[in-house]
Amino acid sequence: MSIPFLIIAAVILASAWAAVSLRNLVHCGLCAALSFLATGTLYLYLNAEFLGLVQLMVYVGAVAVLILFTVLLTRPATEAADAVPTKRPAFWKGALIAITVGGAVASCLAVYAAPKASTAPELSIQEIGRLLTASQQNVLALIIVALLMTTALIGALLLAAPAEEDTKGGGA
Amino acid sequence: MNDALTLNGCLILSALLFGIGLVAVFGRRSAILVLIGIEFMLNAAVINFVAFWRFAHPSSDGMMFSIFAIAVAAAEAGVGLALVIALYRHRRSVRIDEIPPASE
Repeated sequence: MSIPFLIIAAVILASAWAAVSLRNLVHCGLCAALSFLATGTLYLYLNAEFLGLVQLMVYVGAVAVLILFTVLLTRPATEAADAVPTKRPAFWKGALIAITVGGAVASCLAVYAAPKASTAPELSIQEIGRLLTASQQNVLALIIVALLMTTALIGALLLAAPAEEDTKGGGA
Repeated sequence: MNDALTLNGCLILSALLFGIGLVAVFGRRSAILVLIGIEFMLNAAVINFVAFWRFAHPSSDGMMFSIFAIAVAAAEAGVGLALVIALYRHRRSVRIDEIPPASE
């Protein structure tokens, strides 16, 4: 196994573990951002340059910032949760289940003889753009995803907006 | 140049990342951390797509799947975090063991 891959994998796993096990939620959010960043690096290393850039923009740029915003907006509650001692047995029970699942899959894969890589496939960003807009089914999927994103963002806005009982007719 | 890099390595990495996501989903009580765990599990799935695209099936399908999976994951994160904020507004808490059942 190559050295860069091992370094990237170690960063991904270490920061992901830190993100799920630290007490302070701000630290958790920052460690998750580091893990997303390292995942983007892995995509770049695997020759998927477009996906690496998308990962940087979507996860590090948007999702991680959204997580940090949520942590800060709900700060009193998260601080109160920090003050309460975490139920450690519950965490370790969860960790036991997860390590069993992850370890079982990983140990099966360790003995699995995967096909050897021939040559790295080349798929440039221009090519991806052409594929997304040229073929009929990809265009349909693109439109559906665009509608999904719009619906999800409007829904998120409605969920997070302050409730106005008296302006909506028939409220309570 | 990366002859030593194998499909197995990527798949093991994604299995372990999925396991770490499960730790957050099963073991933590903060709703935000549960969402972070779900993001890790989705990331693990995308790593699988990319690894199979890179090593086993170099057509464009794997890449398309990954792009759409990331788009859906981003939408999910937005809605999930909005739910957390709505929950905080109503209950002054983000702990999942304090959420009442949906029927209430």
